[in-house]
Amino acid sequence: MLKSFATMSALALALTVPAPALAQSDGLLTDWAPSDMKTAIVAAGATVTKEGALDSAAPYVSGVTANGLKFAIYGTVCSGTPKRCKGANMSASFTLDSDAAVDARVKEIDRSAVSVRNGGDKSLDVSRYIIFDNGITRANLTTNIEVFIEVAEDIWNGGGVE
Amino acid sequence: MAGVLVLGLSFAGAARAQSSLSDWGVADMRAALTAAKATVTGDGVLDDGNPYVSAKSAGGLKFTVTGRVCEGPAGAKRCKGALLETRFTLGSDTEVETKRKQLDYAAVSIANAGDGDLLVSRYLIFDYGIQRQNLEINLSVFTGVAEDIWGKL
Repeated sequence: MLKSFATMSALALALTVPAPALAQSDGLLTDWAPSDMKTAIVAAGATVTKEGALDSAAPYVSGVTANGLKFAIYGTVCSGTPKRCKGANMSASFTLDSDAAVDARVKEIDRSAVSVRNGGDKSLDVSRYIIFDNGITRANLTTNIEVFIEVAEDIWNGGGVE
Repeated sequence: MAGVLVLGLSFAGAARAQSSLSDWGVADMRAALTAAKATVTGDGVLDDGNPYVSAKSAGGLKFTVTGRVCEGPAGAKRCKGALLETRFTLGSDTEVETKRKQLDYAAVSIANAGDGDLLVSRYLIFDYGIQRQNLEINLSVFTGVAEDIWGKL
């Protein structure tokens, strides 16, 4: 179930992380557009399934992991034409049997790398927010996506509990 | 600083030299906390050997930054991850659960820590590098959001 990626930080999340070489000679991202995010999603080992714009005109890119987890990355604080965004909210949702089941999972999940909440309609929402202001490397963005996927898949499979 | 605006915070960005951090030591975190207008109140080493730095925001919020995935000699470890944490004692599990359901902030994790405590945290990943000013903004966003939550309890 675990996929390979290069991040030592993920070890803090009690995950197994074989580390392939990942190019580090890239520049900084102080904001992002869909092309940047699509590249990072592919580098994280996932497949891009769709991209578009929200009613607010902010871009989004959706993807699916090799294990079937569907997720989306939404732009926040976007400006310009075409839009580039200073924030990114990675999100995945899982439909459980009942609202009470969602509440029980929210209460027991302990993963500091993500936020979990009851999204209503029996939906368990998992998210992680990335700030681009002043710059992160492209490889750091990829690692953030990898960690999000790894934790979300763990939660999807009933894990996430210390 | 626009990424911060989505959280309803203001952040005055002074021009400063940029440099990248692919891990952090206590001196780096102390400098970033000071740049983020917080006051460092202490630092030390946890039982697992990882470093921590404690601080207080200008608004009086007490919080800690704890190292994760740390390597190096004792007392001089450098860490690939940082866990920003603060907690609020509400008194009862019921009250914590009620408040937690009412709070919705993408930038932080809000959890029931037990014993009537509400835990607010944000995890930072340093692998491959973030700019020092990006770290400072992450700290400012965390304290800003946590103070906002504090005001709603």
